[in-house]
Amino acid sequence: MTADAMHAHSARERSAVQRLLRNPAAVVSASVIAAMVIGAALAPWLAGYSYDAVDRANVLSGPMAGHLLGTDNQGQDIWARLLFGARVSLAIGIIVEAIEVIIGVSLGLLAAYRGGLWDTLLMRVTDAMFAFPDLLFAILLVGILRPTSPFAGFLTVFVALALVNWPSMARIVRGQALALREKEFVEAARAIGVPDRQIILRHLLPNLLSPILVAATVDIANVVLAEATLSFLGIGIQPPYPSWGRMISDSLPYLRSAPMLLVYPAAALAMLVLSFNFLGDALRDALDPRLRR
Amino acid sequence: MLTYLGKRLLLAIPTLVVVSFVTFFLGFLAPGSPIDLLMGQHGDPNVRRRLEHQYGLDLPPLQQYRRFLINAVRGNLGYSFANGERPVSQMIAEQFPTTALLACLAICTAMLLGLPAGLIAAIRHNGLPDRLVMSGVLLLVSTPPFVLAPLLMLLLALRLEWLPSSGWEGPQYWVMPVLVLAARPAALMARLMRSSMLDVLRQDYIRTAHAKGLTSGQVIRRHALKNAFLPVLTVVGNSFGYLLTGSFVVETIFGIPGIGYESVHSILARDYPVIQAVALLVATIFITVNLIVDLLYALVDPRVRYEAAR
Repeated sequence: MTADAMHAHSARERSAVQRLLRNPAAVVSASVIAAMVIGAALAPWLAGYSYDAVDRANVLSGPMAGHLLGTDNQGQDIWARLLFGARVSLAIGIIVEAIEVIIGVSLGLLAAYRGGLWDTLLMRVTDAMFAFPDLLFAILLVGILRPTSPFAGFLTVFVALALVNWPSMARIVRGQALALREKEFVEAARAIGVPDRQIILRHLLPNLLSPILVAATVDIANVVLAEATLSFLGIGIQPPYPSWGRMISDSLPYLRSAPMLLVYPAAALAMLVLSFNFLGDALRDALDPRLRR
Repeated sequence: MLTYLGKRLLLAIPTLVVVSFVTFFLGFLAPGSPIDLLMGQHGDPNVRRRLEHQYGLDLPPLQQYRRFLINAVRGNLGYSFANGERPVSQMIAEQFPTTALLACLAICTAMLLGLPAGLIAAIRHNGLPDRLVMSGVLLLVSTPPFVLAPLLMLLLALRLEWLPSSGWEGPQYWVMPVLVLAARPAALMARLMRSSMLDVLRQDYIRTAHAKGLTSGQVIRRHALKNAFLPVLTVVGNSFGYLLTGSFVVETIFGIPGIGYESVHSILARDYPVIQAVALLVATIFITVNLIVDLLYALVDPRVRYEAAR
């Protein structure tokens, strides 16, 4: 990249950040996400209890001294379980999304740039994956494998969700890369003999960053929801480790007597997912003002 | 048109074969044999051999798969491990109508709510209705059914006591599950209807229609609506996939005796024949619905037909 192009690039980024900061929804949702990330990271220190600590003297208590949000039906501190649950949601959301981006971007670029057999292969495989409701595939995969150890349980959820979600990312990258490949600057680079690898890394990838970032942000919301669904159905994260989805399903028998057992994890989950959705929309507006409507 | 139909049908078959292959062989990845479950505390090797033979589990995997496929085409989906060895096809025949009713009601509700909302948002672009609809869309997309369902239950059944909280005995039982299932598709339809309408309203022929003196209502009804609706059709088709998965959650929460409820039980009980059959059924429905949507698309839009025929 020449100095001029570099300058133009950073100027564009700066104005995108400025546009993002002027959008109140973006600022609020980014703050919510940041707060949850901090809460999740510092969970052992902020919680006051371990996620599986049981207080038999106080079962289903409302908020009280020592239990900020009260306790659940087993006498576990709800605030502590919310914080440790945030760890599960965020870790799965971010790590699965990272795996997905790596797989989706490399396969999408490969298919778009090499074309031919690679492209046909990618399109047929993704077609087959799209022919199946994605969450159902994850449910079946996790449901059939039903790992026994907690670690294998985490791993299965990660793998199932990543396996199910990468095709849409690959399709997005492929489509964008196909359009870019025809642009003059790529043709010019090819004409002066720039090797393929450099064209992909220096010319295609930087221009693909914004659509990838937008798609990934919105997609994290879907991954978080998918994990919560698996855990809600009893086949995701296994107790004693808390997950918001599991907390919601555990709360259902106490819906009448202790509705707050439902409200806390439900609100936390909805807030996190909403924030990622809002942030994704705001990023799209900020990074590509032409798309703004 | 016929060429197009034939092409799409031929493409659906390999997809189904792949789906059946994957769901069948996923069963082999599972830890422990399903026979262990069936045998419980028994250790008698003779009983084990007899059971394995009865379920065809003593055959080589590929032959088992072939048998599974041939039987499936004949309508025999095997026998449940957990449910007193009942035929799976019989279980599905009993429970499928409930799920189908739920899904159809939900898709109709979603269209009734989502399409007008998206339309109003597009017409009042950037106005208050637009903002309200778009906020509602984000809120509904971010609220999973297992959050929405208990909240509705808490409000409408436990607090206000307007509706029964669970069961499936009459129309008053349908309201909450249908609303919960319809929420996300309605939001997605509204969002797409809005952006599609905005696209259409920017076209030259709309300006022409305005210029020749038609009222806004006439322009929208006669010229914009049909073209704007086309892309939304795809979402309607895709929603079926969501509805089928959503029925897992919604039927479990509301205690509705449908396929979803049965599937969750089968998954927890590791009842593979039922899981495999449900997977195959869902894939078949999903592919069929998408096929129908594509055909409708081709029927309404001559450009698609022309592209495909070449």
